[in-house]
Amino acid sequence: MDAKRKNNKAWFLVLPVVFVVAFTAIIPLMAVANYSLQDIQGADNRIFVGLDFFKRVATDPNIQDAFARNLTLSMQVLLIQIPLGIFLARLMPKSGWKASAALVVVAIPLIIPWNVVGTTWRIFTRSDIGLGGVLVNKFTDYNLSESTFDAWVTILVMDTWHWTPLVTLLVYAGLRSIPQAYYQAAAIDGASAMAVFRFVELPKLKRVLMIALLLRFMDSFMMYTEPFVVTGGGPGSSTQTLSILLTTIAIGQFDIGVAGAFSLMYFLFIQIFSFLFFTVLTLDERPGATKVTPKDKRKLREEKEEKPVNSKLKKVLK
Amino acid sequence: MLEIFDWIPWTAPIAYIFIGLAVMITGLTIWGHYRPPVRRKGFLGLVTDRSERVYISIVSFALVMVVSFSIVDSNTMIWALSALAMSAGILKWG
Repeated sequence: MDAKRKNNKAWFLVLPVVFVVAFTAIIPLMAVANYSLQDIQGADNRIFVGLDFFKRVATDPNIQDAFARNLTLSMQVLLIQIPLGIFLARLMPKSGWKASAALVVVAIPLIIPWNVVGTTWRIFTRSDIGLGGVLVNKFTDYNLSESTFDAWVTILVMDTWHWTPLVTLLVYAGLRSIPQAYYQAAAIDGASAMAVFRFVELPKLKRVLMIALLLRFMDSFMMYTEPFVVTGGGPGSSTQTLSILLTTIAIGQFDIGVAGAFSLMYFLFIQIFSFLFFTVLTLDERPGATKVTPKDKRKLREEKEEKPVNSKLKKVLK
Repeated sequence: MLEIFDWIPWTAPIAYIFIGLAVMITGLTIWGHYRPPVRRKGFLGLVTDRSERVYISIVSFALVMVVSFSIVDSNTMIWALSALAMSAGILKWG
């Protein structure tokens, strides 16, 4: 029960960010929310439709499919990139020029613009002139524009190539911040490499991994440019992410009302998933939230019972 | 000052919602300054303070409404009222 009043004036330092976010996010969001409730035919001809657009979006099979597809993609991205990122970070040299060189090499995909990544992969995966496409075709039939499986795997591999370095860099920074003493203590105890990873590194990496997880989830859940450039959402709609579908509705069909309702629901789901990740990962860091197991209770009781003995001992020693 | 909002095609419900949210955030800030929130554990199994419960209740209200939209011919009013009751429950006992 921490009911003491704290000096919270430092929060005023957040105000500039609040203003920036208001201009780039909150005010546009207000506009989108307003679009979602009305059918705008012209500047002076606006028809209030209530929640009709929300109902239309929620029952649209195309949007439901895209949602399921995007969720699958995000989960696969997380399952591949987080372990791979940790693995790569552990392989990287710890100091000297090799460490700097490794950092630069790993960071290269991160500084390439999305569009360029898409175009590079578009050419790379062509089955007639692309290096990757021709090579894979030697072993198995590979055609991006015909096979839905090929298209899906390509998007997944491309995203892994583009964004695993982010996880790697974050984890690498996290690993470097673990004091050497922990490793020495583990070595004295004769801990195996697996045990060091499980009980020393993983708990220390938790916060960094949470950031990586949130960033990767949000980015992959709103992935747009790469699939748009490489596959255009096809073949059919097999790689059509929510963002691509949303853009088609908003700009292709100029259905601003439906797109507004869609955006708000999209926003809600990103909120929910991010909140769930954050809550689950910080569950035992919240003050007062420590789980007390029966074992801990017994320990506490034993400590209490031991105390009188100790004080008697002290008296005797005196 | 208010010209930055002029380009938006306003509707009354959205205006009320955003004004409500702004009032709520300001109110919670002032309330939090004079009566610092106390963290507690409710039926959600999470240690939360009051503003966290407000956030959870708003998001779950929206989620229930989205679920109701996806059901064909659902009665929005009944769903909204039950979602509101659920949110109130989260605020009080969550």
